[in-house]
Amino acid sequence: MLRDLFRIFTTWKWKSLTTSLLVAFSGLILIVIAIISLNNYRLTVDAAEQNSQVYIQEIMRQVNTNIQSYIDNMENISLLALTNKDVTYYISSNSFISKSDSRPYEKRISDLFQNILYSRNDIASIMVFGYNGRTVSDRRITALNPNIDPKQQSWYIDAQKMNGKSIVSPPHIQNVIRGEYRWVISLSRELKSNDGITPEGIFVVDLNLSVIDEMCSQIYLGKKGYVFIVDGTGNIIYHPQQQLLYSSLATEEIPQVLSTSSGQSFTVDDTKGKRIYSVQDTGLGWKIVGVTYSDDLIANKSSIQHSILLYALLGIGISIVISLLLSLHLTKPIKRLQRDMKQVELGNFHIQTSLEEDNEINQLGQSFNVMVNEIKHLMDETVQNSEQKRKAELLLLHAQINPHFLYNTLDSIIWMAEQEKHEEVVDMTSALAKMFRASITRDQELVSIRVEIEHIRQYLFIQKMRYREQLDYVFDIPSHILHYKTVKILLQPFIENAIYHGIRSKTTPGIIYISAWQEDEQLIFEVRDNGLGMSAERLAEVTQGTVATNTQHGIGIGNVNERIQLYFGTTYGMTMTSVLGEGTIVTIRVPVIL
Amino acid sequence: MRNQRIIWWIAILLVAGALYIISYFVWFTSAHEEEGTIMIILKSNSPQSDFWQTVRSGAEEAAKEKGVQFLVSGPLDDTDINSQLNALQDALTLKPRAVVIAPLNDQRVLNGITRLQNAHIPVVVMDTPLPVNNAPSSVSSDHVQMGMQAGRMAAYQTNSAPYVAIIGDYQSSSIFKAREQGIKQVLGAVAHSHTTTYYSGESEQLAYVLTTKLLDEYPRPNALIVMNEPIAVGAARALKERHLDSMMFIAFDSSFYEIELLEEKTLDALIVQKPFNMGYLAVQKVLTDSNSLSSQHSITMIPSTVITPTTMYTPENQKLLFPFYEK
Repeated sequence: MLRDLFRIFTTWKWKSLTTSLLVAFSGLILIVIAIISLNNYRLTVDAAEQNSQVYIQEIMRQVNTNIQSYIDNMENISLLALTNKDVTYYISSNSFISKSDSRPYEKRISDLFQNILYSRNDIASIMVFGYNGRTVSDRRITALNPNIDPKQQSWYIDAQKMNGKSIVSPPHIQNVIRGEYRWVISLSRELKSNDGITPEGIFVVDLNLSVIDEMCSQIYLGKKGYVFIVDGTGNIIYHPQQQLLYSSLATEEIPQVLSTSSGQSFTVDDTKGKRIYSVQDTGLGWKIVGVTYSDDLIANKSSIQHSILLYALLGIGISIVISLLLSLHLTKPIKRLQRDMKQVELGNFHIQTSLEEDNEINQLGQSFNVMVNEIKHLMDETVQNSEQKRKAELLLLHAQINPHFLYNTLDSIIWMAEQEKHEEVVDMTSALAKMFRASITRDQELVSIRVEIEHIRQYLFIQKMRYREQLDYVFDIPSHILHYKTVKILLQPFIENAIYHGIRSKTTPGIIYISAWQEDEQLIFEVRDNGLGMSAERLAEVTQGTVATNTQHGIGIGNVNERIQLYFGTTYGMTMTSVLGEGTIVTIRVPVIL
Repeated sequence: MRNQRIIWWIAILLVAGALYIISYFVWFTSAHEEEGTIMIILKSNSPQSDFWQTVRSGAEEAAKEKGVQFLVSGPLDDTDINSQLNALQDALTLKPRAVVIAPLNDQRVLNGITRLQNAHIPVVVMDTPLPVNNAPSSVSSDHVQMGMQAGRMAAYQTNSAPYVAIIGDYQSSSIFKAREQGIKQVLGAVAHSHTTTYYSGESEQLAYVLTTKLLDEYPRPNALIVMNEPIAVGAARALKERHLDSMMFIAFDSSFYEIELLEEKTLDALIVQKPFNMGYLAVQKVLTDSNSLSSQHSITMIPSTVITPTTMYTPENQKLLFPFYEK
């Protein structure tokens, strides 16, 4: 498996268009997804934090409301005492001489307080300390702590200072009752006489601190979060780690809490971790502070992280697959074209690439098809051409050693030898030899005009020996064109035609005019005879090649024309004009070739 | 072409595999995150014991602060060794992240702690440092310092020539020995000082008799340092009978009667421990040290506080004298 992977890795075409497209798409999508995911994460976390802050503030408000309701209750109890006639009378400075007179009042007040206490378990004690020295409480018999002077207690002193308004103390040990040391919060106020001016005593109601403690400790602010309360000067009212704070084993952000207004929050990030302090003011001048650890949201946070990561990866996975398919789809026609081109490279010109989509690549494919068709056509043409050339060459070879002509000539030589015309025999044989040399010795297609003319000259010489007065010929070849080249056996077939079809059957002697001249970049040869000529129909037949001329002993004139056009193109060739009874003119155009 | 298709399939499979692995982690790692449970084994888990309940609340506070679950156990009576042995056995089977223990003075308990250490469970000992080799880290009140504080109080208040009578509980008590050592350390440096040590166990009556006898002696001790509540109450009775307010009377730890004695100024000073801090620091230590279970064992000493009748109602001292904990 690993080796396969490695092989794929190494053989993978990293520079292929598909890979480039894939990488480009994937990279682009990756970046976009990464940005979106990060942003999404940030926003989600922000929103979660904001939500939790709102939630915590709400809890703080709730705590505040609860504390306030406890305080309000104490306030109400104090008002009850304040307005109670028994209480007022009991502590008034001008009544009760004897202790026994005061007993019923004491009992009634005590009953009242007790009733209140029974109905409310959050209240620890209710007491009245008269300035006249009388004390009454919810206890039937109030045993005061002999070692503690109530007048020295801060709740007593503070109440005196407040001039009839109630005051709430910080949590403290209520030590005025003998044998009881309870943690309480005291609400105390100075009681006035009926005139509302003369102070007559101190009323105190104690709230069990456990009520506040329970309330605060039951608030769940994440695993590590907690609630604490400070008063307006920064003294700790309640803190789960109060003892640690006293021992300096823990610190709290008191100054920052004090400077934060109600409903606001601030964030602290130190060795204990990032946490948010949400501050809520109470009516007492206290500040309730909810502390939540940022990583307590981590369960939340990490699940957000995970889910965003998951979705991002899912998105990336899907997008990679899609970009894969897309790049494959885009490069598929190119690949197909490439594959087809390779086929063409290997020589298969029958291929036609398929055209499916209508796009640029389709156009490319169309062009490719046209090109391949063109190449194929040209190739065919080339094949055909070379075939024709071979055929023409065969015919040419035939013409070069025309057996009929050779036979006739040799027959003539024999005849002349029998006549003992030795000189003529020598002449003719020599001409024959020259003729053959001119036509055979050269292997190449192109021969100089000089050679061609020499060949014709020898041929005509031999024919002249045979036909005597019947045949005559005139050469008009300018010497400056003799070194040009042209295809061999260019003129001989026409001269042969002129002799066999024009002059031989004629009663009067025939003359063949052979001339050549240069016209710009063309050479023009003309073979003119004053033989029998042809009718227009016959001429058309001959020029179109429907009638095989000279088939048994020479090359057809069509063959010459074909050869010219094969070598030099269709702009060149042979034309023939003929008038019946007057003769035939053959004009041959070839390019000037050095 | 075929080869390429295989490559794509492999790529898709890889992506799918990666997604699967990631989703696996997403769903299963979060479940593994909360392995942290620590066991807190107290000398006494009795709701009557303010000291140990305060230790417990300190320990719980630290555990809560670290976001760790906790399990509190301990005998109802601080002589119930079997209960503590059971708790240790539980710890061995439960394999908690760490154990905090205030061991009872018994060899079997010490063996149990060694077994925990051998099982690679971090242990921190509270209250009493262990008299064993390779002792685990400990967090305890500095009893020597407590003695020194008492000694200093005695020396300071008696001006010159302090004659200090020390009434301890048992001769075998390591805590008493430490405190006595502290007292003697301070007084040894004071000229014309003299200390004598007596033992009266946990008996109020014995302490009363002992104190009465002491008061009749000549020269009479001018300072009395007592080890525990019953001795303090017995001694106080003797002192009150003789109306000997001039006697410097110092006791350790706080209790209801000692507070009353302090309020009425029969007691001149209480040297108190900080049990909340002990519980808190022990848990904090076991959680922070648990990463390095090595042989590096440290001893944390918690300073004690001297409380006099005038300072007993400061907010700090109220917290120490009148423990307030969630019941």
